[in-house]
Order: sequence, then structure tokens, then C-alpha cells
Amino acid sequence: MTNVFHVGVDVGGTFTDLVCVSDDGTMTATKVPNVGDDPSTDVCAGLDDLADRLGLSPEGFYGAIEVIVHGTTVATNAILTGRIARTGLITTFGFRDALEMRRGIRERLYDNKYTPPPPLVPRYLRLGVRERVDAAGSVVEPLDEDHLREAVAELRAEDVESVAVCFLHAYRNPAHEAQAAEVIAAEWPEVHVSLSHAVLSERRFYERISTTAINAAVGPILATYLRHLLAELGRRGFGGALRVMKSNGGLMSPEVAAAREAAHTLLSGPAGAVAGGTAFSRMQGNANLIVMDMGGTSCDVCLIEEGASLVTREGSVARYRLMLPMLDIHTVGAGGGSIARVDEAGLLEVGPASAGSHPGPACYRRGGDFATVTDADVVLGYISPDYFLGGRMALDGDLARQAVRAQVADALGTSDLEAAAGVYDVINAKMAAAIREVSVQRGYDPRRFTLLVAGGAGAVHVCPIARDIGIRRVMVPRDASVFSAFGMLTTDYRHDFVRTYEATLAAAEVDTIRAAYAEMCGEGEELLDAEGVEAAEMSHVLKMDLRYHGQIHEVEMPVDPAALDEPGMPSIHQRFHERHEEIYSYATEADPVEVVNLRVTSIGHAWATEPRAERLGGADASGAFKGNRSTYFRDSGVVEVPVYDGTAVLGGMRIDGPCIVELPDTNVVVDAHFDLSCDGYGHFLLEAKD
Amino acid sequence: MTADERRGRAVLIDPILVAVLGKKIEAATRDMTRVIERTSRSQLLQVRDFTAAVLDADRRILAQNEGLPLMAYGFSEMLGHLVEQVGGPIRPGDVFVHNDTFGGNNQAQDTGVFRPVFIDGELRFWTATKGHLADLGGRSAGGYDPQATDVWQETIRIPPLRVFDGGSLRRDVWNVLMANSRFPELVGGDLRALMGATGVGERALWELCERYGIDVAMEHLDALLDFSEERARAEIERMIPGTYTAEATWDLPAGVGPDRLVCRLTATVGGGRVVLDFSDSDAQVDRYYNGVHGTSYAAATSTFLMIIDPDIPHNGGVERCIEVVLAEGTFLHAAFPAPSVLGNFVMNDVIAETVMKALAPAAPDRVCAGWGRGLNVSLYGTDPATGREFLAVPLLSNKCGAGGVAGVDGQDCIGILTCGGGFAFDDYEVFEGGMPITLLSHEYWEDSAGPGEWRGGLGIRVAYLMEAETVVTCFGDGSDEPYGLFGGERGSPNRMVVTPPGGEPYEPAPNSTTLVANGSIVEMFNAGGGGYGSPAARQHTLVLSDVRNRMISERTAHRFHDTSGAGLSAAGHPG
Repeated sequence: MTNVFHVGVDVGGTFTDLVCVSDDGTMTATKVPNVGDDPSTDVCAGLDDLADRLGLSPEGFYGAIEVIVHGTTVATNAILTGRIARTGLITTFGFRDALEMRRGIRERLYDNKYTPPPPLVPRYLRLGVRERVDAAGSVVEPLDEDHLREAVAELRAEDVESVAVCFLHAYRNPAHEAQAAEVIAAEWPEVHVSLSHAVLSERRFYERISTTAINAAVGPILATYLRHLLAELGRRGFGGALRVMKSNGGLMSPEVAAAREAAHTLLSGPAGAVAGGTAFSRMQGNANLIVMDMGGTSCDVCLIEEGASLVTREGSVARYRLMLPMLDIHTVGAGGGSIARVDEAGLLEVGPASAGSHPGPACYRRGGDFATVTDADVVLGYISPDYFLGGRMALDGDLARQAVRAQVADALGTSDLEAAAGVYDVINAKMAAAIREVSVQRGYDPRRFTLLVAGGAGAVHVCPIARDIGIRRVMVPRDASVFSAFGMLTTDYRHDFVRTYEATLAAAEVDTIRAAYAEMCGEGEELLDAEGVEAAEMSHVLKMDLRYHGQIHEVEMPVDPAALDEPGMPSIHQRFHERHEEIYSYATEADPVEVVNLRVTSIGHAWATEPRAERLGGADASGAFKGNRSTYFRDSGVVEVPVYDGTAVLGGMRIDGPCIVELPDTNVVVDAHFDLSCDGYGHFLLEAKD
Repeated sequence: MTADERRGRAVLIDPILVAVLGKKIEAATRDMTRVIERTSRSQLLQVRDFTAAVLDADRRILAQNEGLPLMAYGFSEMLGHLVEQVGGPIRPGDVFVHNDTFGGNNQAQDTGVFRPVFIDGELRFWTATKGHLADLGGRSAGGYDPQATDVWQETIRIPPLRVFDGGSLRRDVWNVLMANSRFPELVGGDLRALMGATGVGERALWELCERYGIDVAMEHLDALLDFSEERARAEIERMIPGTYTAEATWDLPAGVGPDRLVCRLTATVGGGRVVLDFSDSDAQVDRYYNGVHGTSYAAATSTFLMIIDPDIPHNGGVERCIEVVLAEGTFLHAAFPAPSVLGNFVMNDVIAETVMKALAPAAPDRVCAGWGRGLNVSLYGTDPATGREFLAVPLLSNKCGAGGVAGVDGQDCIGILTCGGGFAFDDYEVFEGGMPITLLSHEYWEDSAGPGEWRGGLGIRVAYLMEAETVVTCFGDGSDEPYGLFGGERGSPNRMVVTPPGGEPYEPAPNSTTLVANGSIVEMFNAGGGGYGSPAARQHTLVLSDVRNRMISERTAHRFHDTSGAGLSAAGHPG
């Protein structure tokens, strides 16, 4: 019998992670090092490796893949490195500098040498065209088509590849942008066009023009890459569907990604781990989870409440403002490669600078002499130099110790162990602060959540972080180091829509609201249908942006359609007051509540991931015991800690902390405050001792 | 205490915990800031015309999040007045409002909110916010009144006032406050946001003390101030020691008294400290050009902090290295009951400029050339469509260019200096939503910057179409050309032009009030910054790029820069 496969592919900074699930439920994972500049090479190398692990010929394997879900950092890297498409911007005459002015803020207030990032579109490619729509949406001055044609000709003469169009108040009346699109299509059909009302139909000119410019700047790059990837896969016999991970945690087709939603892929990479976390949450009865994905350079943190991840529109990428719905992932510069140093006043700092993988931590033996977090972990005995990546890469414990001594211990006047413990504490404090950022600061009590750890290094650090925040339950998936790729196979198609509708909630026209919701749901169904989703697999989440009369920002809240029928919508009022109090410590119940935007998220259910139960062992884990190792803990000093072979730790087994469980790509360090158990699916659970 | 003694003490102090607690306190002020940004109602707070801080019971600033540097640093002084004036017991759940310019505050409309934070029944911290309220009484809406001759014409004075008593809002007190604003809905909402922010700060402190215990927390926060002080001292020790002087002047219109006011600074750098002595400055006047102690102290301190490592936490420890000397009766430290609305905001740039100019020889690679000063408008009228009054002080037209600095051009559209680029200008679409004003344009002002090896930042030109009869008060400076440094050229001064419908354009005098007809166009030209270093030394590629982007004209390129290289023809066409 021939199996069919679903493959999740996460192309990261140094490795490409792949997870393959066959229709009989077998899961196979691999991690291949990246080579060169073309990520499609890494994707194919990873697929070849999977075929090898499955004992299949490459042709046979490629032909049997039904779906590939791809987390891509192509658009992100284009922005980060400045290798973007040559982009022109057409806007309302008199306002062409809004993109570069960035609302006149210096992000580092006291830094006279602060420089903003270069504008995505330089001034000479930003052209104003005469037209004007007012705040109410009325046309004050018609679009001057001749003026527009001159601008288009000028951009064409400058060899622009992509054009962004953003007119004032287009969120209210998009007619001039639509008209401009027709003129451009007639004059210059081959150019890539991004219209602000199609990218982001919301008030706030700066946010809209910035988001539209980003979309235009990465659109042609992403389109070219996806075309190339599809051709490469096709050449190898792949005939299934390619799906792209979106920043909002959903999927989309490469056609949609390339043609209109390129900017929706800017968090495509980290979204996978969150999607996986969401799936885990659902499998556990909608458990509340905080996902912490610690890599080499950064740590991504996201909160999942009752089976749903939080989505924000307050984001930026490489200091460029982006107001699209994206998973509310908070990223801090804390990873295995983060560099530790002591400043003039004797204060220890760790990160955000990272040694990356070249030269990497001192213990990598690649000539680096930075003391990094990984070096500290080695000095403390948390990572065995002989079993890094399952022994595929030997580390040098002496180099780690020398670096920690030279860079940290000598300056602080402490022992090597205390210095390493300091590095460990400071980086943990940073990650704990990131977790607070997504929980406490958004009005969620982290103590109600389970901390789910992804990435190879995360489980080395998790115990003190959990204790710092008061979290009592930690989960480490068995495949933590490729969790992001796994997550991509658990997610849905997901499209977001918004309509501005402003009214006092008590006096809002329910019919108008319903019509707007219906229209957006219709658009969602159309898109999902084009992506091959069956009608029965579609669903929609309705939301409202609410505020007190006179406020300028809103709070986004899910809306139960039944609540619309109550006269005056009292339950929506009530939920809003409560939420405002939760987040901001006060509510002003006497003030009228206003609705500002209506939102719909259309979801197309892609597949059901059936977790496969692992074989169960008894509670006794002594069969997996490898030996003892000298390990330093802050509160007990150096102690001999039992080390277990994680591959032999089976479902049902229990091990009291302190202990270390080693898997080929992941180390679980359990301190004296936690006990470890292994669940029926092979994942590790750390629970605080009473 | 010497550095060695401090190091000696570090044996008892866990330096790692110091770092951790420092981040936690900073995070608390960020949380507070977010409440103000997300829940306030006026454009003023939207554009970050506010500051949030955490202080200890001894009134030392532990951390602050400066939306506007000018507003920071004054909290200690205000809190001193509060404790002294309230006299009786202070209880959990109390919240105080305080805007008295003669009690440590800045501008009269900047309104401070103070909440005592109790740990185990004892007052251990204060969370504090300060924000610019749109209107709190006074003779004219918004408070920008060039004719006002005393403080009562600018605002109602609110010495420390208990608005929440043990957790309950004092409705009668609240009503008095609201009854004295022309825009009670707006101002009430903003005040609730400022108070709510202090509540969020309180939650964060409770959480912190629950985790670490108050004693451990206080010892380590104490050490945090010491560490910060030490870092600042090390920075100051790197400057060339000596005594330096500088002046900056502000032109006054006829009828105020003197033709101009002169700010005089003698700065003494040495031994890890700096003394900024302004006591020789001119005497106060009886119009709004005066500053009060709180603001002048903040302006001097915050400007000085721009020329040392910006990553040093700005807390009470750093303040110990900086002494600011102000003499009562001068226009920088006006005596009661002087008016002071302009002197406490736009005019503080004279203080900042003297700090930069005086210390140029001491720290030549850190100081910047002159930033454009502020010239802005307050627009007040009745919307013919709704019959409702409106008031706008649009920060859209308070954005001049920064001065050049060694290695970096001055930032475009950023000023003013004492605000450090802290406030954002209004979003165009949000601005147009509520008032009978159409924004016609908002773009860089070509050629406004002073050329230099590192040029000044460009100013901007802004045009408003007034769709109601409007009282236009123009406040600020209309003559200063931002100074160049080390051979850099001066920037262009501010201008304002009014064109009535069908009439001839005219330029109202700065610091005057005029009534303009419905249909008038009000145009503001915000100054460009001064240049740093000789323009002849400017890199050719930067000149070409500026010409290509029309940041400077071809004429300017030929006049000031070496244009003999390729890429710019004699006719000036960029290649």
C-alpha cells in the first residue's frame, strides 16, 4: 500500500526543520543545515532526507506528498537585508513624505546619533497625484488621471518593479484607488500593484501607507520565490498543493500570497510553533498555554487562551510599521547564541547581540571567544558536550569555561560557576519578561497557563522561568526542536477582513452590522473555496473593535452573534467594561460605548491531526538511566544529577527532579522544584512540587 | 560614596537581581504609558505629550518612561510639595491631582497624577503620571495666551488635590475640576486615563514586592541608582574638564518690555559631575515667556543626558551627577504669580541650546547643532456644521529639523530639542475626522536645513484650510536661525502665512492672536536644523542623494558643496 504524506517545512536561520505525517499517522522529522541563499534548495534537501529516512525513492516520495505547508522567511529576510523590490509610491498630492517621516518620532529619545531605517521607497520614487476624498468619504477633488499617468510614466522610466497606491481616506471610499488601479493596468499591465484599501482597509494613514509599502516591496520577491519553489518541486515529481504559513497563524495558497498578501507572510516562520501550541491546547480540552520558542538568536513568546492564539495589529518588522493581523508573538533577543558581557559599572548584560552559528558560542570550536548562553549552559552541566545534537556535534567544555571566565567571571570577581549562573539568570529574566509582556501586560494571569517549550534550548531554561512567573506546569513536546514544522501541519486556512462602521453601540443599526458581517463572510468563503476547502469545513469568527466615546484606540473583542439581537446589546457592553478594567485598571461605565470596526476571521478547517498514542511503560524510569553528572543549581550549588536517555523514557514514566533528560536535539533540565512525567503521546510534563 | 565603596557594597548586593529589578520597574512605567496611549481621548496624549514614573517613598525617581523628556525629572519636586501641602495622613486608594506651576510642575496644562503605593500597610512607592490636558480654565481655550499677565489667566491652579479618597472618587471634587474646563468630556477622559495608568503601575509594584519582598527590592533598587550614577560619572569623566559658557536669545515682540531675553549658562565639567549654572540669565517679564523651576531643571537635565550614553537608565542616581542652578526672579525661574505657558514649553529650547553650545568644546562628537525652535498655532472656533466648539493645537506643525551631529545628519521633521523627538505628529486621517479643518499638505520643506558635512534635518511645510471662522493664536519663535557648529551653516527660521479667501497672503507676528475667516489657508513653515562641520567636506554621494530626492536644490548643492565630482552636471541635473 502506498502512503500519502503531509509535510511541514520551516526554513529557519541556520536549519531547515521538516516534519512528515503519513496517512497511517506515522510521524518522521528531520533537521538539515541550510546552504547558500536559495531556500528552495534547503526545502528540497530536507525532503530528500525525509525520503531517505522513510526508505523511499525521492521520486516516489515527492509524488506521494499531498500537501506541503511552508513557513517562509523570504519576505522577512528581504526587509531585514534591504534586498527588496524596487518600489514606487503614488499618494495624495501634498503628502508624499508620510512614509519617511514616521510621524516625527525618534525611537531612542536621547540618542542624538539615532538614525531611522531608510524608507522602503526613496523620496524620488514617491509621487503625489492630485485627488482628494474627505474624512466622510466624499470626493472633494476628482482623481486627475493625466497627473496619474505622468507619475506612472515616471516610475516606469525609473525601472520600478512594484507600485504602492495609498490615498487619504481610501478606507472610507476606495474609488480613487480602484480607478488608479485601472489606469495603471491599462498603461503598464506587468507591474505589481498594491492598493492600500485592499491591503488594510482601516483609518490611520501612516499605518496604512507603511503596510502598503511593505506589501509592495516584498510582493514581487515572494512571487518569484514561490514560482521557483513550485517549479523545483514539480520537477521532482511533486503534484500536491503548496500552502504558505501566514503571520496570523493560518494558511493560504501561493497564488493569494503572491498576488495580494505578501506582507501577510512576515511572521510566517515563528507562526508554526504557535499553530502547534494551538493544536496542543485543543487536544487538552482548550488548555491555556503560553508558547515559548527559544532558538539561537531570539525567543518568540505567544499566548493561547482557550484554544485560540491572540492576534494583534500593533506590529513592526525591522522597525517598519505593519498593521496587519499577526499572531501576538513577542520576540526578545534571547537565545543560545546570546552574548554575555559586563559593562563599566559592573553590571552583567546578556544579549541581544548573538554569536549566531558563525562563529557561534565559544564551545562550538569555530574560533568564537564570546561567552554565550550555550557556553554558560555547558559550564553549569546542563548540556553535555558529548551529546549535543545527539552527539553529531561535539562541544568543547574547556573553551566554554575559558570564555565565561574571561568575559564574565573576571569582571564580576566571581567563580566560573557563579558567573555562568549569572548569565543563566539574566537571560531567564529576559525571557520571563517576554512572557509577562504577552500575559500580565495584556491582562492575563500567567499562573493560569501551562508553559509549552519549543526549540532545542528552551527546556534547559524553563524551570527557573516558570518559577519566576509562578507557572506550575510546563510541557516539553518530544519533538520540541522541530515543533514549528510540526505546528504547520495542524493549522487552518485563515483570512481576516475588516469594515469600518462607527456608531454608538446602544444605537447601532443591527441590520447594517449583520450585512457587513455577511459580506465579509461571503468574501471569506469565496477565498476558501478557491483554496479547495469544502463548505462544511468553513467557519467564521465575528469581532468588534469597541471603545468609550471619545477614545481614539479600540479594544478588539469576539462577538457572539446572538448578542446582537438583544436590544441595546447589554452583554456586549458588559464584556467591554470588564475587559477595559482588566487591561487598564479602570472602566467608565457611564460613558457610551462605540463600535468602530467590524471584523471577520474566516477559517477553513484543513485537516484533523490525530495524535498517535505512544507505547506506555511503567512509572519506573530506571531503564533509561545513563549516569550522574555534576550540575550547578543556584539554590543547591554543585550536585550530582541523574541523567536519562530521553529516547528510552516512555509514556507513564515518572522521574523526580532534579534530573536531566537528554534527547538528540533537546535537553530537559528539571531542577529540584519540579518533577517530570511522560504522557501517553511521549511528551514531557514538568509539574511543580508542592 | 566612592566607586570602590560601591563595589565593596556589591558583595552584599546581587548585581544580577539589580538588573532584573531594574527591568521590572522600567516595564511598570511602560505598562503605565500604554494605558495612557490606548485609553486617552485627546490628540495631545495620543502624540505622547505625557510622562510616567515610579518613585520611592523618599521621592527618588526609580524609573520613568518619558513620552516627553521636558516633562520628566520634575516629579520629585512636585511630590515634595504634595507631601508638604497635604499634611495629613495619606491612605491606600488615594489619588492626587496637581498642576501648580509654583509647586514643581511644568506647563500649567501639564497635570500630574500621584498614587501612593502601600506594601504591608506602609507607603513605599508612588506611581505618577503627567499629561497635557487640552483645557483647564484660564482666559483662553487651551491656555496659549500671549496677553496673559499672571498664572490665573492661564489655568485654574490645582495645588495637590485628593481626587480619590481611599479608593472612592470624590464626585464633588471631580465636578469642580470638570466645571472649569471648556471640554470636560475630553479632559475628564484624559484625566481618567492618567489616573488609570497609576493604578496599573501600582499592580506591577505589588506583584514585584510579593515576589521579592519589599526589603530585598528596596536594597537592590537603591543599588540600581548607584550603578546608574556610576555609569553617568564615567561618561562625564570622559569629557574635557573645564568651565564653559554660552548664550541663547529669544526675541520678544514690542510692548513686553525688553527686545529680547538672554539665557546665560556657565557649565563646569569635572570630577564626574557637571554644574549647569543659569543664574546670570535675564529677569522675568509679565507675559508668558517665563519658565518655572520644574521645567527649566528638566530642560537642562534632559538635554545633558542627550550627550552621554543614552542607554544609562534615567533615574535619581543619574540626577546626582548633575547640578542645575537657577536664580528666582530670572525668566528661567519666575517668581509667583508670573505667567509661563510659553516659557515652560517651546521656549525651553534656549536652555537646551546653551547646554549644547557650551559643551561643544567638552564633547565635540556628542553635541548637535541647533534644532529648529517651535512655532505653532492654537486653533479655536465653533464648527458651523455641528455648532460645537473645537480646539486644536496640532503637533502636525511643531516638527522642525534636528541639528547635525558628528557622523549623522540631523533628523528631518523631528523637533523640538527639549522634546527629543518624543511626541508624534497627529495622524492625518484621525486629525481630519473631528474638526472643520482640512489638511492640504504636510511635506518636507526643501532647502530649509543648514548645510554642513552633516546637514541639519529638514523642517516641514504644512497647510491647513480653515472651514470655520477661527481664532488663531500663533506661539513660538519666528526669527531664530538654528545655529551651525564647527563650520556648519544656519538653518532657515520658522514662518507663518495666512491667506484669506480671495485675499492677499500676510504673515501674522509670532505670539499674536488673530481671527481668520472661514476659507482661510494657514501655512506653517517649521525651521530646518543647523549643519555640523564644513559643507565642503560633505560626502559627494550624500549631496547627490539629497539633490535626487529634492531635499536640497541644485543651487544649494553648487553653492555650498564640492560638486566637481561626477553625477551633478553644471546645469545641476542629477545623473
